[in-house]
Amino acid sequence: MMVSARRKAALRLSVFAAAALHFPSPLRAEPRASSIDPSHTSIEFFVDAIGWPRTKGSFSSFSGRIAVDLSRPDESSVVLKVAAKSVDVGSRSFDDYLCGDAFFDISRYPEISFVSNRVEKLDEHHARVSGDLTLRGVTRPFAVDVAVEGAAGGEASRLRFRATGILHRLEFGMNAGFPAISNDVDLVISTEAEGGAT
Amino acid sequence: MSDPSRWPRSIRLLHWLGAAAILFAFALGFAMVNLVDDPGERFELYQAHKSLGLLILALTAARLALRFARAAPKPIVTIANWRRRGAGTMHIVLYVLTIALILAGYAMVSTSTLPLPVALPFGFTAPNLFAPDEAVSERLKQAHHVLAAALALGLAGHIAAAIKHHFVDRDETLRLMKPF
Ligand code: HEM
Ligand code: HEM
Repeated sequence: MMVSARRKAALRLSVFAAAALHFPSPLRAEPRASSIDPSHTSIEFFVDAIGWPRTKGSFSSFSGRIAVDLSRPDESSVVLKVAAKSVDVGSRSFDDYLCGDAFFDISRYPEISFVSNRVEKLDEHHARVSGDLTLRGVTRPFAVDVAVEGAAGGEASRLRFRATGILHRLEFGMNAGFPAISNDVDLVISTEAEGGAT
Repeated sequence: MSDPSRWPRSIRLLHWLGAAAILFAFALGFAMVNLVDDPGERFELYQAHKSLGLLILALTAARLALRFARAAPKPIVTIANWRRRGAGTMHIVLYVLTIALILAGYAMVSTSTLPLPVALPFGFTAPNLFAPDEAVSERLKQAHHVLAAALALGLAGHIAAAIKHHFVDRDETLRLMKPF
């Protein structure tokens, strides 16, 4: 049931991609999907632990596609693939430790991915994006709340998004250091995309 | 063979090497826990503190072995017997506290629910000795803190005594320990 929804979403995305390439101005059938631009995107996480300062980290290597239509949220979608080894917490040895089998285990699970399967509009400036998150090879439903921050960089059609969500790492088998290190991981992802709302 | 009028050279060298390393481990331990907020930096300092602590264990074992193998200098005649025995007892206490402190630290990180082995020179790592147990690890952390405070207190007395012998009593105690 969910699988087929996801397949459909993926299929739709590749159709957008093709459409975007071949017809710069398609027949308003589907919102235009565009690549996520790393220079305008940040993926950050925050973790609390007892006896340790709040750890802030980020990922620097990722790719994905995003299609947004504010007037028809159900036609919007996002796919994000993150290279786990690009984790950065401000020190090489700490990064290497996180890449080891206690946390990301990158030799077995090099990729973290999110594929949306539902976008709901909450109000004029907020949406909820639900989908499947795969981390350490475990796929679970995951949702983020997205604030739409309006035109970015002076271009009326470009929108800035700030997605926030709380990931429960134990659900993905990432148990190391629990309970001293919190189960909850705060995620903050910001990016830009063409609005396609007109 | 050895010059009985001062400490054997090996003991003198290791005493000062050990003193520098232990005082540095204190500074590092205090700074990393209380002064450093950046998690990346803090992680590296924790790793360095743990490695340094285990190196100090090896150094202390070597010192102790030398203490049994080599003769101490002849007693200084101006120092009363009970004071000399007091100093001797204090040295034993310093050895015991140093070793207990290090073992508590090692056991604390071994029982931590975060499996993070201690790096040693040449790419070796010290294994975690025990199964993870959050409560036990927390108790050992307290033990590490209490033992660190006790050793600091003992060392304050030890250093104060050395200063007193040198500047107040003006005897040979400190000179007999001169590294070179
Ligand atoms: C930097 C400050 C220090 C000073 C000025 C100092 C001074 C001295 C002096 C003068 C002696 C000879 C005592 C005697 O002949 O009875 C001595 C011995 C000794 N000191 Fe220190 N010391 C210092 C730091 C330390 C530290 C950090 C330790 C670590 C545990 C330590 C452990 C010992 C021990 C165990 C002895 C007996 C000789 C031996 O087994 O090596 N000292 N120290
Ligand atoms: C002579 C050796 C050592 C000395 C003088 C020393 C001293 C200290 C001090 C002063 C602190 C800070 C306590 C505080 O202010 O809260 C500390 C913390 C710590 N030490 Fe050591 N230590 C030694 C060896 C070790 C070893 C061998 C290990 C582990 C292998 C270790 C692991 C730790 C850890 C993990 C902490 C942080 C725990 C916390 O959150 O307070 N230490 N140490």
